[in-house]
Amino acid sequence: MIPPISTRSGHDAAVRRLTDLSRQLAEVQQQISTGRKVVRPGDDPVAFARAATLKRADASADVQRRAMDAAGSRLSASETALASIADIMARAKELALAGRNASLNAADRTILANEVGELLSAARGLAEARGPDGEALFAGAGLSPSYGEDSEGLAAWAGLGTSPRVAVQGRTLAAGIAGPEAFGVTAPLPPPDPMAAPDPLRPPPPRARNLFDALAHLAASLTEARPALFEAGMDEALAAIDGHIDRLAAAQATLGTRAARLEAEAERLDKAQLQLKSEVSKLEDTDMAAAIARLDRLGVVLDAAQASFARVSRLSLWDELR
Amino acid sequence: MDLLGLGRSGVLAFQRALNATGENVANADTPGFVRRRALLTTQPAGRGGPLERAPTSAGVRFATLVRDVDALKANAARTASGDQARFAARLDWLERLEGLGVSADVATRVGAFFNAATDLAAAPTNRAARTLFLGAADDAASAFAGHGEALAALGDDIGREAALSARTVNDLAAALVRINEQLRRGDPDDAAAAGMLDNRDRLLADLAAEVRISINEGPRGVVEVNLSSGPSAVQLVPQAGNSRRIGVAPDGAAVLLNPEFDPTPLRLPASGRLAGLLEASADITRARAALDSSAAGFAALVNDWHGRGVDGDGAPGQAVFARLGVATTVGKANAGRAPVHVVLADGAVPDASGYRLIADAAGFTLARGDGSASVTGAGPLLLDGLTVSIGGDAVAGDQWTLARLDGARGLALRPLQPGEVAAAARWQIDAPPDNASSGLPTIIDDATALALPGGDTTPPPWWISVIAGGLAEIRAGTTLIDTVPADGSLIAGPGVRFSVPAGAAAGDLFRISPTPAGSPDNANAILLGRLRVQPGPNGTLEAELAADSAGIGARIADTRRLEAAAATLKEDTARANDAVSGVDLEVEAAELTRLQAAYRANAQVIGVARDLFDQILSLSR
Repeated sequence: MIPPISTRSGHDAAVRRLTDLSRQLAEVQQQISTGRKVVRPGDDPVAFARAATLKRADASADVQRRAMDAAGSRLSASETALASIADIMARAKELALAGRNASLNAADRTILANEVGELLSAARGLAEARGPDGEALFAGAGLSPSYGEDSEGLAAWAGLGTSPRVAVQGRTLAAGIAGPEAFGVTAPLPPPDPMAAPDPLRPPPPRARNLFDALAHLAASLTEARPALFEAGMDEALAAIDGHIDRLAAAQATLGTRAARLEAEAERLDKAQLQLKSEVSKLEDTDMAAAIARLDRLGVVLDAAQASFARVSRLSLWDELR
Repeated sequence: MDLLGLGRSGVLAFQRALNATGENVANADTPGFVRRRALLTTQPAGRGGPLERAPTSAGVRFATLVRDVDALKANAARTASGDQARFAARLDWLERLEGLGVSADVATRVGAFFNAATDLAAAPTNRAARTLFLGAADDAASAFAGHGEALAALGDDIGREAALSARTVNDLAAALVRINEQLRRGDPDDAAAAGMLDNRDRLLADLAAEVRISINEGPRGVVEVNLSSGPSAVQLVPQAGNSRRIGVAPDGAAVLLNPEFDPTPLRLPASGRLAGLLEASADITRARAALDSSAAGFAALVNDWHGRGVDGDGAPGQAVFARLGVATTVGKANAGRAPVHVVLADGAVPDASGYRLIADAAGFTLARGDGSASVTGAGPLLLDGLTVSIGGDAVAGDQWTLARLDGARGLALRPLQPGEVAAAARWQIDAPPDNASSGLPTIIDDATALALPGGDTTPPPWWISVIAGGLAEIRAGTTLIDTVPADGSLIAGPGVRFSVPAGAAAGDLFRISPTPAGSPDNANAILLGRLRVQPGPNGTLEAELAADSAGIGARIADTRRLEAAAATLKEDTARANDAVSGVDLEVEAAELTRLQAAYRANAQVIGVARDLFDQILSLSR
């Protein structure tokens, strides 16, 4: 039973209905002006929890992008340095082939050896290259300088560990390459055979050398006066340079693959983020068309309610009492 | 003669009836006013003797003033209003709880801390990244601590409000006792009694808004009020005698009968504002416990993680968060207004029993709560790593209580330098590129491992070379220190356990070395990213925090629905009650017209009687 407006409860109820309409109107108005539906957990707990998860994923995707950008620039800096060293090695190979030519005399070979020496110091310089964050690129987890001298006076890797890594999709990926992987390692000298008689004309046994030692060995072989040792030395140096060129190409390919993986992951993240943002928007944003239509309708209803309230409360028996 | 008497009785009776209607109109907007109705009855006829009324048609008289009340409907309205008050109070406080959660936004700030760790991993040696990481850690700690404080304050507030509600119940009960006394003494039928009954009903309605009550009405409208109903009802106001008192237990979880002496917990039905407050109080307590447990989990996770790495100086990571604090409470009876400033030294552990600071004529005494230690002096007092400085203006006898804080409120960032952030793993493991196998040894910090199996305690750096027969030689420099199996099994070393990969071929070489100071390694920072997504019993830490907020939100949504339903019911029952007891101005207007006409008719009767008299008198002339 609806109480008549002439009673206290009826009057209060009518006023309450009007207030309720105004409140709804204000709510829709707020949704329109802020553009958001869910503002507090109590408005829609499920949507709130879902939106919180999505927003968390979105925020961590942002920093993940930044971390991958940093790793990407480190990778490309490493790639650039390796490409320059590969150019050096190509030039070294030209010089080696030229030097092996029997028509050259000792003076010409010394000139070639000097150039190889220059190439070596250029390569040593590039091996100390630093990334955009100022850290040595080829020292792994160690500190600059990447290469030092060992007891034989040969270039030896001074770093340790592996390159800093970047987390990609729950796995980690090395953001760079450590010296030994790019430039090889020099094998230790085998212990001298005490039984063999020293023979100055017998070439020393072949030895694995890192890139820098290989260049130094090439320079030394170019100035070797003893023909037998010169031949053996030049053969070994050429083979070593070929090996290093292959190794550099492989290292560059490795870096390229990693960069490509980062790029693919970045693309995936972008897509995921777009999806996340659209889902958050679906959960939290006001559907403008519906909200504006509702605002209009509520306005009409409120107008009508107010008018009818005023109209009905004007009708009274008391006016007829004389 | 008779006609005159009849007219007179009619005029008098209808005057009373018009008075009642007038009162109704005057009180049309008075809350709790019950519509009055004058009940008229035939004047009993006499036998017509010399001292008696005439035997026929003795007229009308005002019998009694009836309050249009339906006890069942009134009771239903009271109960429904109590139910609505319960949900309204609960909703109000839960919304405050929600508001605090929204503004503290702990989950997002904890997420920002983990995101800062990802940024740190991208630039582990960058001082700015380290500073930002510490800033994010500070923000996460203060999110926990600040929210913890806010929840504690909210808990205190709701405790006070519940106590106030219990006091309202006691005051209303005392007022009802007085009304009972007056009702017993007064005349049951007059206007004063009706006003008293209106008052009584108002008090009962107010009381029912606080707690669920049941009522037994006695003679003359005297009521007995019971808390709850049925066999478990507890008498609050007797029909004659004094009321009993209730209070809220100090932990805010239960209502007590006779709180001052012989406190007895009451099990009351969930209705009324007091019940809503107790429910919300339990929710706040739960929210505090959940926050404390999340804070403890977060601090343990981060501190443990940080200890696994090495900082910029090559030293093992220290704890990031301090988990204890001290809160100072000023004594209620303090006469002075001396400010007290308490500083807890880094790493100090305050006593669990707390401390008491007392001012006396000579100076101050700071004592542990259990009395096991104390210091006395004028200036700053030092005890258990606490430095307590007291400003001037203390009066002898003033007291302060220092309580140990743990949980969320005690969480704080320790004073770490950017260089002390442990972004690097403790050990670096590498192998030459020409190893036949691609696997690397794994190494785990383990303080319980003291030496290599052979008994050697030389720590890394080690060179591990795999030899024939599934064994590996460990060398420190060139010295052979041990030979261990190379089959992937865990081998103890001094402070570490490690394994040589099972697939390693003879001739393979590995190196394990400690991370040097300033290393650009970021393995530990990356590890935090992995720990972040490691689910606990309730999902990841951030998911747990978000779920706590959503849980409060769900409770609010639930309460909101129940409140809306209870409000509708309250309105319906109030409407039903009003239909009986309320004043309808239209009805009163109609009534007024009718009574006015009746009054006028009776006046006419007197007039006619007088005319008759006049005619008879004029005959005799």
